[in-house]
Amino acid sequence: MITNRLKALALSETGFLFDPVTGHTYTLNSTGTRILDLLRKGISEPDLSSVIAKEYSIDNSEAAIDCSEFVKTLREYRLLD
Amino acid sequence: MNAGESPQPGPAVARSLREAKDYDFTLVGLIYDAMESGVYYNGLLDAAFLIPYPSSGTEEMFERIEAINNKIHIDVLIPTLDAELSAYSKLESRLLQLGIKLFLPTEDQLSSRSKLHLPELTRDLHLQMPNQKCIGSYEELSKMFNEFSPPVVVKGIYYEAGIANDYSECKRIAGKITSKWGWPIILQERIVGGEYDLAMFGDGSGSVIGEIAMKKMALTEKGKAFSGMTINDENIYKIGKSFVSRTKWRGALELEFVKETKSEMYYLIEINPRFPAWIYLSSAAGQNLALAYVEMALGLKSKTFDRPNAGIFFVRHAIDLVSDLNRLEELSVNSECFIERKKYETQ
Repeated sequence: MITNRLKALALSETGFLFDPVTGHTYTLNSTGTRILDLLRKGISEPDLSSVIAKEYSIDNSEAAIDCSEFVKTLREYRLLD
Repeated sequence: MNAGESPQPGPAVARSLREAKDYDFTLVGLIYDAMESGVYYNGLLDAAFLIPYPSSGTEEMFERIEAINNKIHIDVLIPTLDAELSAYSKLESRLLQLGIKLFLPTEDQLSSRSKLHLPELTRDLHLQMPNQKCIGSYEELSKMFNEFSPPVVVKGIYYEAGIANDYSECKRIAGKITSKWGWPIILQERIVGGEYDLAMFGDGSGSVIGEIAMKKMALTEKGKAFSGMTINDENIYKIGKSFVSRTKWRGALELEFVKETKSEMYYLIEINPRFPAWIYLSSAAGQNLALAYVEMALGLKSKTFDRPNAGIFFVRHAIDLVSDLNRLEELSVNSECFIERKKYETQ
């Protein structure tokens, strides 16, 4: 589900992320940018890892750990509800 | 009109007016010192006049403004410093008789927002602010310090502040502030979080003409914004709107907040009844609040601005302004100078 919080974020292709509510800016690497982009497109958290595993040719289990870590970080920074 | 290490709002207001579309203003800088940097910014001002400090009394200020007005008629006067606001507010009707218009907060509004009266005002308006105590002596300071958990913010009632981690540091900062500005001082709970500012313009009947919120991205040693970014947070705008509506604020206003990291709540730290030094950001973001002042003072209906987009960013950049001796000489000898309009140095 795409929340208002996710919709409000400004994410560029270069990985520069701006949160218009807090004014904070972040720089994401290409994988982080892709994960956030997928979340903003409405991909659910459980489906994320299989998309990432396929795109980056890695094991599903490895992708699941990386995605879960990244989503946790997004929550810590209150970028995700 | 100084835009040096601790910039004043004057140059930013003048810059906003110089760039106002559909107007070609004659801009006159009223300055306290011949070395104020705005005078040497080519194309910004058309004239500059030295004026007496507000501490010399309202009568002396009035006489000087009257003399200046006889040389170059002033249609609208925009006070931008805390120390001069009360005097101009008292002189508003007399200045109007000279044809000089202002659009200032009322004397009651000025008094209610002072650091000493802020707790009552925020209580009435249901706004969050850090706990604070007004302290009148070292004896009181030693007693009250224990009521706070350090670190604690130590503030002068007009200028300067510091953060104290223990009582000896608190006493040292208090000594530094009171040696310049006297007692009382204020002890304030320190809220941990990011700093945010909201500049607004109220029409005096409770409506907001324009508003712009920004996050301070970088601070000077004195805690002034050296860089900032416009934001779009409904919560901060809601607080501002409620403030203007309930106080029927007249004129320019800056609300300073800390957004507590833990609770994400905005705590009101200070209210400045004037434009902030970063007000040029408002005109750059499409809402020229300095122009709104001029239009409201002239009795023209100023348009209500749309909220600015988030993500418009400023960073201060100090450069050396170079001038020959003429302007400095004229100001030093005659207390005035008329400046030939040169090409305006935008960026």
